[in-house]
Amino acid sequence: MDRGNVYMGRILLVDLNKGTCEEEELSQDLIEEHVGGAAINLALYERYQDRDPVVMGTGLLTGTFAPSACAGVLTGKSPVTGRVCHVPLLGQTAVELKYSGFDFIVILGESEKPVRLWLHDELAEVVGAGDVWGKDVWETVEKLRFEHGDDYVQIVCIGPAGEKGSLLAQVSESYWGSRDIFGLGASLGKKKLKAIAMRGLGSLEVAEGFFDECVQLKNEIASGRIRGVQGLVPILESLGADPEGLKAVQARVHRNVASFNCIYPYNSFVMIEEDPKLLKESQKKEPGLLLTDPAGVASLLFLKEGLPAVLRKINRLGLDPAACGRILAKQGVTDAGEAEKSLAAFLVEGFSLDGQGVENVYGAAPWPLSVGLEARLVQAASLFSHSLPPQPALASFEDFSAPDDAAGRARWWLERQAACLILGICPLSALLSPELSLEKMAGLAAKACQWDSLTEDVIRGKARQLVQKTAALAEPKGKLPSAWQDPEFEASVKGLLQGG
Amino acid sequence: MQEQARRLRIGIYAGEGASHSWTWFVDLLERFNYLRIRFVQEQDLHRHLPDLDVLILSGGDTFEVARALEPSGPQALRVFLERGGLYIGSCAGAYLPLNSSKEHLSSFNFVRAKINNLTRDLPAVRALPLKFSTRYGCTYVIHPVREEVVVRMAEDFPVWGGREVTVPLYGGPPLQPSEDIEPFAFYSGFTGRTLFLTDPEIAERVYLGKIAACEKSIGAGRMVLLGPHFEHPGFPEGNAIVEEWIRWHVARTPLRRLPETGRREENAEGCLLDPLLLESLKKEVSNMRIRAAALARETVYWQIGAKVYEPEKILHFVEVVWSRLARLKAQRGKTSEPGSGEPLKELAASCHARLRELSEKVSRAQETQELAEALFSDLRRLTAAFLESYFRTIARGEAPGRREEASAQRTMHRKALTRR
Repeated sequence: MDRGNVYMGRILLVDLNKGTCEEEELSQDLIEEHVGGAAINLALYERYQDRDPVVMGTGLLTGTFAPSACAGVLTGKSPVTGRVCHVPLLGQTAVELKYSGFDFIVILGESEKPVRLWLHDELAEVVGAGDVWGKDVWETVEKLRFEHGDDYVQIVCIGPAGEKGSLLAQVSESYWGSRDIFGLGASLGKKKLKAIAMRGLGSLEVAEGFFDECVQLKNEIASGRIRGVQGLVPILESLGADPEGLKAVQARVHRNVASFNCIYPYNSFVMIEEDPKLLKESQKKEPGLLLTDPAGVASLLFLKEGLPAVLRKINRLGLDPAACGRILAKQGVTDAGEAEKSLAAFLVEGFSLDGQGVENVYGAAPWPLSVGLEARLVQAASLFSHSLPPQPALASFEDFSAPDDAAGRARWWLERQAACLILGICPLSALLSPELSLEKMAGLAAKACQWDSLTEDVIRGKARQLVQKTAALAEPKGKLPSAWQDPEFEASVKGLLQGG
Repeated sequence: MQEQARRLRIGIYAGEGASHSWTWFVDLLERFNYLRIRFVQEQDLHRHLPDLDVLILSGGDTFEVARALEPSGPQALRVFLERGGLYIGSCAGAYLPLNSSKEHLSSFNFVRAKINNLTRDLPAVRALPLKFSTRYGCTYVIHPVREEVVVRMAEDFPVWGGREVTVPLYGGPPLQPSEDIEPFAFYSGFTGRTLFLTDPEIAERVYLGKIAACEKSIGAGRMVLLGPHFEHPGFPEGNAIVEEWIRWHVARTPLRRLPETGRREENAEGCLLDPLLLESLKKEVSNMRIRAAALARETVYWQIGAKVYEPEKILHFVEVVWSRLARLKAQRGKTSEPGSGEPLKELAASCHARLRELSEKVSRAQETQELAEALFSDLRRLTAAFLESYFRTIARGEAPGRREEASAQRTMHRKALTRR
């Protein structure tokens, strides 16, 4: 069976200098060699490296019935760390991208004037963004959904932070931010690409028997480790987050929402302007906020009841919440009103954690909750976003049969992230459910496109290659936190990235 | 004989009063490789009929169709039938030729048969009150069921004789026996998917044993009246029966070729393989498709004449165009005659603008009746104009139709892994 059948078969090349779009076939060779997701992203990045590309891609299984098959990836050179990085897209974005007819988008060069991209039904248009440049993230999303006549249009966009070139700028998936801690929001701002809007009414073909296997795995996951638990708060609780802060957040939770085909609903909607016990639809325009970012929420827990309102402002401005939390904490801000006012100062070109005297990991905000060696090793690698926990949550390393030593665990985390981002499986879900093993993921991938030789070992090999090749492309700039600066530690990181 | 049938010149009425079910006939005919299809508006029926062998009139608002086809339509239809034409009327198209004293309808009066769903006293409605009855003078035409019904084909119907098939019913007539008609299908039952709009006992009295489909010979031609929508795409057996009926008509009727009228057929719709025209249409129709899909999620409807229109019908028209546009591949060197693609482009742009205005007003809970009426009229015209050009393109062998495509391209027939 044609491998391409779980793909739409199209790569879109967007030349922002010329304002043009060109299509290229997603070849069987590319799929056979790299499988998908972050690995194909990287191959495309390397091919067009001299044009400072940002690549947005989907995994082999993205958009299928495979449990947690929501993930896509943004790959680009981080203006924060200097490294090529892979940021998971975990909302509806990647699914909509694939169904709009495109598997990968390569964004090349820079536009003279602000532009946006509209992808629909295998069509791509670069249009002027004068109508949304200068607007915050929420205003941009609303305007574009109204423009295209459908609330299901998915939008990846930047806010004022990205437009102004702040290094805290985050690419946002619709209203709710993203896992971007690497400043790719600033990269898009430099390119004057305000937004990518997508809407797809396409369909995918998968092999016979695939659906039944998906249902079976879904049932295993649902009755496994995550049974009886839901929401972001239990995840943060299991990782040692501030209990008082969590209590204040939990008190405002209205509902928990799962990403596309994810079994565990790790996004929590908290009410700000409404009673969290409200059952009927709120009449308020903006009653609350969806919490999607574990690191961001953990970094802001010191604000307690004030967290949702401040995080809403951060999301609207298109800032990285984890970095904002670090700076606000260092400034001694405890009041939500004061915090919101302080954010305006972050919207300056080149504004960074370093510039504020805040300890960071090559410029990026550290994961707030763990000081374990494996967590530090993973963050020092700086290849995959550590806005996701650098360790399992709701479960232990032992539950996942991960190695006992720190280096082994860090390698396990990197390979698991890489494998998920190749296949299009949510890497956060993969940290919650030992049932979602690499063997099962590979099995589903093989079944979906009748690719018998796509085994667990092959996927693990592709994952390792992805880590090594990404690391080899550029060295990080900046420094590690002072407590981490140690020749042995740095040698461990090097070994990790070279496949040791 | 099959080859002869394929050469039939078929007209499908897509003018005032027609709803959306005429597009089901388009799908059916294309699937069976009848490609010589024209789309007829109310003002030019009398002009087209001399060049047609078959005229199809599907569902809609019978009163509105009758009004729109006057004054020249009825006489033109009679001449067409006398010389050997085949008229296929389903649902509203089956009501139209039945004898009536009502204004506009009385101009037709081709068939002396009575309907069995007429009543003076409206029974209690259980579901879909807006679709249950239509005022008819001081009486009501009632529709006790919708969706699936079972019909039994008469023994002497070719191939399907004696068999029961399920077909959908959306307001079409059950007829009483009459010497003026030859029955070929009878309502014989209901299924688990039949929707009863009133007491099932009433439904049984109205339908069971009554005529679901029949024929009447008029001159050298004939009228085929179908109560249910045999042409619905979800019912392949019904479709096959329609196709069989067409072939049976050909077998019984020598096709008389009238001299060509001498009128050159203008390619007013443009060359669909012209890259610029194709790209422009695809963008416009895709944007409409997205907006229409969103509007289909709204709880809104419009009463236009005797019919109720839901937003899903907007999406239906757009999909009819889109599904074919998506298959067409631009060809280098193919260009439209200067100005010839403009009417189609303008019509698409106008539909899109109206749809946009409609969806914005719906989102603000503003009045949209007039706008909806104008939009549905535009959509019919756009769909018909596009299909006219499309069938000319595939009939010339310049692009794959659905049958050739089925074997040519695997990727076109995907098992849907649909969302939403």
